[in-house]
Amino acid sequence: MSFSNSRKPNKERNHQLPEVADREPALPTEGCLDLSIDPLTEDIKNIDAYQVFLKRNLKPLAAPTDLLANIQARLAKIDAQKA
Amino acid sequence: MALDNRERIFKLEMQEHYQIVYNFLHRMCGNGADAADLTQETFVRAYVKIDQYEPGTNARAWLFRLAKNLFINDYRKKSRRGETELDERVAYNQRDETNAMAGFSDLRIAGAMDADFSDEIVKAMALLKDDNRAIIIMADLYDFSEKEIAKAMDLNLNTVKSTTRRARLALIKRLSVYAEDTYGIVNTRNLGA
Repeated sequence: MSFSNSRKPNKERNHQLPEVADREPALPTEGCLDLSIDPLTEDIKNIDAYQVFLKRNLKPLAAPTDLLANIQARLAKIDAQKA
Repeated sequence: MALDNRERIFKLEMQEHYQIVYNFLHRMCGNGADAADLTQETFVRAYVKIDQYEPGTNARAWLFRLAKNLFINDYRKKSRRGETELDERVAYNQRDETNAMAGFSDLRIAGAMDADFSDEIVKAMALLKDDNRAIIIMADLYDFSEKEIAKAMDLNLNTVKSTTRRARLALIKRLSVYAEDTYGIVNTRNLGA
C-alpha cells in the first residue's frame, strides 16, 4: 500500500497565499511619538515618552527679572505695616 | 509667628520656588504679565499665612495650592476673557466626553517625537478644564507625585488618578488631530472601535 503525497511541490502551486490581516506595518522607531492608551486601564502605555515630549515642547519660561525684587518689596511693606 | 521666624521660613523654604510658581501660573493663564501679578499675590499670601504651613514639609505643593486657588477663585472670576474661554472649554469637553476611547489604543506618530508641537500643546491645554490643566502641569511637567497633587488640589488620591487619566486622554485627542494632519499617523489599530 502506498501513500501518495497530496502536497504538490511549490512550483506547481498557482494560488497566492492570503495576506496576514493583522500584520503591523514596519515602524520607524526613531522620532516616533507613541501616544497609545491602554484600553483596559486608560493609562498612557509609554508615559516616559509622553512626558519627555511634553517637556521638550513646554520649556521653562523665564520669569521677569524684577519679579523676586517685587515680591520682596511687597513683603517689606507688609512688615513695615506690622511694625 | 515672630517676624524673624516668618522671614526665615519664607527665605529657606518658599522663595526658591518663585520661578516654578510663575511658570505654573503662566501655563494656567497664558499671559506673562498676569502670571507675574498672580505670582506676587501667591507669595504675599504665603508670607501672611505662613503659620498654616508646617516647616520642613512640602513648600512647593503648598505654594501651588495657593497659586491654583488664586487663579481659580480670583483671576478666573474677574476675567471676562476667561469667561468666554470657559464657554468654549465647556463645549469642547462635552463633545470630548461623548467619544471616550475611540482610536487611541495604538497611536504612534512617525517623526513627531522631535518635532515642535509647542503651539499646539498650548492650544490644546487651553481647552482643558482648569483643574485638568493644573494636574497635567504638575504631573507631567514638574513631576509631582499623585500625593503632592492631591495635597495641592484638595482632592483625594482616587480622584487625582482618574482626573489625570481623563486630562491626558483629552490632551492626546486634541493633539492627534493636528498630528494626523501634519505627520500622518503611522498606526491606528482599533480606530473607531
